[in-house]
Amino acid sequence: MTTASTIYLIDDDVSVRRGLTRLLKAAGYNVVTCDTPEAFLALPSLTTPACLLLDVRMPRMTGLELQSALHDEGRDPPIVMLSGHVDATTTERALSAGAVAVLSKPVELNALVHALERGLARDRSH
Amino acid sequence: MINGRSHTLRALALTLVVAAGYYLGAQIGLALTFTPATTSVLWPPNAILTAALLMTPPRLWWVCLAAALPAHILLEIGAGFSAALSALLFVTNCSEALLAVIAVRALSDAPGRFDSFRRVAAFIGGAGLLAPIVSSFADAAVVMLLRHEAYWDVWRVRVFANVLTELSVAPAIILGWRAARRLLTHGPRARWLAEAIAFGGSVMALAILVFGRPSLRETVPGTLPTPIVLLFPVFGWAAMRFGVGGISAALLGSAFVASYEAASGQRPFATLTPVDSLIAVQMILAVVAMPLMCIAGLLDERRLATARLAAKLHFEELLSAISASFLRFPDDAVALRTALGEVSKFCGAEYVALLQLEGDAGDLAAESVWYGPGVVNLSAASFLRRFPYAMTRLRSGETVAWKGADMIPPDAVEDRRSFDEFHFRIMVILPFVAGHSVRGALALATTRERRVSASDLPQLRLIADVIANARTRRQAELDAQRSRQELAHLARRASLGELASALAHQLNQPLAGILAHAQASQLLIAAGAPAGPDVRDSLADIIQDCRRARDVIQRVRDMVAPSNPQLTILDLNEIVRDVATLLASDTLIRRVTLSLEFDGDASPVHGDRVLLQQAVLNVIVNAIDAVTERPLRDRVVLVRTGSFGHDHVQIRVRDHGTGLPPGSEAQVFDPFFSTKSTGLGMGLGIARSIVESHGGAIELFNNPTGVVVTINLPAVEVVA
Repeated sequence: MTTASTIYLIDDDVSVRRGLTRLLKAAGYNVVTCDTPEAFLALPSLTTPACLLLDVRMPRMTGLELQSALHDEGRDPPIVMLSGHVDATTTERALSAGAVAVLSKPVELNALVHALERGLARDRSH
Repeated sequence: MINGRSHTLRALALTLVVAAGYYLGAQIGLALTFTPATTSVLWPPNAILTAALLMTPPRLWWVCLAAALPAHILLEIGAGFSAALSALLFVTNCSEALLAVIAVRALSDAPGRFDSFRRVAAFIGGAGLLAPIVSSFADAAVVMLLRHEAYWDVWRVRVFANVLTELSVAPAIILGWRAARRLLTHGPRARWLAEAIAFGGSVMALAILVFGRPSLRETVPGTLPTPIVLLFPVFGWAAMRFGVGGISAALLGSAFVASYEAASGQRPFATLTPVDSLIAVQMILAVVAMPLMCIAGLLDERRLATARLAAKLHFEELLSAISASFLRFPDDAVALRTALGEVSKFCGAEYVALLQLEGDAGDLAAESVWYGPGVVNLSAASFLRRFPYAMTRLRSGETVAWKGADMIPPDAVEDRRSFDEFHFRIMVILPFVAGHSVRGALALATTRERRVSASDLPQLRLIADVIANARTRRQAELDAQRSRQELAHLARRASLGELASALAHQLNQPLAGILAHAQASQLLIAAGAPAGPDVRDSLADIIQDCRRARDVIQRVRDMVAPSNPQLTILDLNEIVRDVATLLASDTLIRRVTLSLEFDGDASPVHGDRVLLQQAVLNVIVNAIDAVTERPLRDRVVLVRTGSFGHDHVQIRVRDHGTGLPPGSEAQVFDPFFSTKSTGLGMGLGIARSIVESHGGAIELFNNPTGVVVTINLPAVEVVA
């Protein structure tokens, strides 16, 4: 676990954001939160190593749409998807677009840390 | 030529019968002649000839006339008539018969039949009046010239002797011949026979009383000298019950007695000469008989119309019985057998088979057979094999109708052999044609002789069409129902899938928050940090998320059960009835019997009609699902309502399924619990929440022989 690792948490639900922020900080990560994908896209640049923790279902732009928007910009940060209702189609699309993992809410700490670490390792190796 | 020989035989038989009849009639006529007069007072031969001509086609008339000639000559020469007189009288006699037949054929739509006013009137006019009157001019001339008798006296005697015989003998022979044939083929009807004997006896007894010797009359006190009117009620009886033939027979009987007695010197009218007295009697009889014969014709016409209407009704009943059997019996095979049985009953066919063919080769796809008594078991499959020629014709869309083995082509050896082996008399095969291919056929066969007319075939065709249509319609209905059900189920699954997805998202958000907060707090505490503001905030957030989750659930519940139910006083029986109506097509298609038993008294409850209907519906649908895969006799769901004192009312739903897996009783009301592969596990859960919101209770009793669900609801005291 590296102190420099940053998790970009993008979720429209304030309660989820606050809970996960508190959890990830307790687990030793830096956390940057965005309440919409647009807010994330507006960020100047990402620190390294970083990993995105991205909610799938959001009102104006979904997690999958953000993923492809980043891809279109030529950016390919590691992404861990979070979904309240995991279905096969979403998982397949996210993974084939390069997501590290798709996790379902509520997520267990171990599974979350494991997925984030894989993403961070990928980011470091770039 | 198969028919050549039978034609010759028939002509020969005709010759013999006509000769014998003419001879016998002339014998009677000669016996009833007032010597020394030439002309008989009752002369049946001409009328016998008329009857023969009416019953034969014109090309055979010469046979009848030729047959009568030797009998005529033989008798008249024997009676001392000269050859010339005998020959000339034969010509006048034949001219009478020919004139009668030509006139009747011109006037009547069916010469030789007496079953309508027109036919009877044509006969009376042509044969009864015109022919005797006209031919008597010639006859009287012959007798006047050769025997020097007074022209008008001869004419008078001959006219009445012949009017009466034409009216009495010709219909009596024609109708008697038909009645005898019917008696032979159908056997006697005891009551009809008894009445006919009583009638014949009455005619003869009265005729003897009326025309017989005065000494006989004197033994019956209070009788008039000539009580001729006594005969009229018997004539009326004939008209009402025996038709024209009965009147003719009565006329013949009484005329014979009258003539016989007159010839032996009796005079019904004492003031007249014997001949005039007899003519008076003949006139009275003829004049009374003519309108009565017309009435009898009218009555027959009515009877025929009624019978035709009855036959039509009977046929329509058959058609509706066929259709109904497909509606009434859910089992296709039972419905079909019932329908074929009805057809058999209607047509008098002992063998009725439905063949369903498929493919270009016309392979048998399905079959159903109805056997009458005494028919060799012949399955539809072997029918196909045993009648290869008939099948070939059937496959090309032709109708096969064989009335006897003679009609089967000689090279169709197997068909001929089978036809004889099964003792078939008539066999008809009607194809069902759809588009350009023969889809099947209705095959009928009888083993007894039966009259078949050309009009039977279209009727049979209609029957075949109705059966084919009923089957097609039923198949289409089943298909439509099945796809409708599948659609409905898919739709339900889709909307519930969406609901589940929405629900998952709504609940997982607060749960995700709660878990994250709790685990964060755990990490903080494990790291030895004091219970600082972070943990306090986390707990506050957890509580907040729990409330949020509770609200989500409340919203779902509100969605299923509206928070503002329309509470009214309801009749529980009516709710059950409404639900049964809603499920009617479902139970019909799944062949489940929904048996309803209502408490005699109305069972009032306080509640929301739609919600309670929903609860009852869910429970009953569950029960129906439980028995759908069961054998037909177990596809029964019993719904019973009852009230228990003033306390509560109950709906009890019992199915004849196999019960639930042991141990699963407690879970059945849980949402998303289901023992069915396609079940959604919502039905009983929703039912329970509705029942409980009405202050009631729902209970389930599990047995290996089925499940019983009871819904108890608080009773309402209705103040009248």
